[in-house]
Amino acid sequence: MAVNILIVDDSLPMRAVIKKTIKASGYGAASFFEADDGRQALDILQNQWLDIVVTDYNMPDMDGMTLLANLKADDLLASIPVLVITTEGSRQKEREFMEKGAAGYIKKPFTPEEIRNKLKQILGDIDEPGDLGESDEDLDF
Amino acid sequence: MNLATLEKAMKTSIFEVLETMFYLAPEFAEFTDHSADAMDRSNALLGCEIGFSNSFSGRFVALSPASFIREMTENFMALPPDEIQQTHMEGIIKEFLNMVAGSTFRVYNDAHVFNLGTPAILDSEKAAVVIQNAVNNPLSLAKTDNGIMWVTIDL
Repeated sequence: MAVNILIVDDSLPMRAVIKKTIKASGYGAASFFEADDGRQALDILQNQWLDIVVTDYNMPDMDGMTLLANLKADDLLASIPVLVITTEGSRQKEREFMEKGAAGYIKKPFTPEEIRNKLKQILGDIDEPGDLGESDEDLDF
Repeated sequence: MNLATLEKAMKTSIFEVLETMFYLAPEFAEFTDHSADAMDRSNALLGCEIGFSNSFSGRFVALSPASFIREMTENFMALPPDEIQQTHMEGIIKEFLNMVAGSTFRVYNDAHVFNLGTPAILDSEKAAVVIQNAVNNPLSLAKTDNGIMWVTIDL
């Protein structure tokens, strides 16, 4: 499935792992964009249509909650689904994200299956089913 | 705050993070009066910290042999050993401690928000001092073939 995916995380290793995990989840043909924080993500969104934003919560400049609020307040961007992948594990914070319009919430550490299932739920069926349990090349972080 | 429960939550989280994200299954060494003496100072050490605040405040501190972090980096990023740089390893220990902190509080009490700061590299000598003074604080010694990583919550 050819989709445009924006990964927002201040950790370069984590962005790389999320990207590999998404590719291994059947989105090998996706185009990826990356941002260090919410502010940089908003800059990218001004010039590039994205099918989904995958964002961390805790980032130095603009956090994931503020990014989500900015997206939902913008008529043009409000429909873009936002998947939150974060170390923040409290039920209160998860509820807050979902109430503000997040499409999904995954806690770190995560398994590839969690990402795959959530993406499928948000974006629909995947063209290439793939097999998360067999392809070493795809699965190795 | 229950220190024993907090320490157990931290140990559970360290194991979960190392196993799920880094494909490592550590053993946990027992802390003794001589544990600090066993700190491998012949090996380059990496230190890291992340603060938190809520009903109680403090910071998580990790101190690890570089060889341990190198193995984590290889597993996490699937990079050949000769392509691993110091910046990769610093990113990995920060991400590791970030995940351990978040997971510890989730296991300890997921009804409360513990405001986590941003992980930062901590001078290894300073980290060693925190670890050596951690007798009364939660402390875990995670052990693999590449050495022992020390993690404490400095309250």
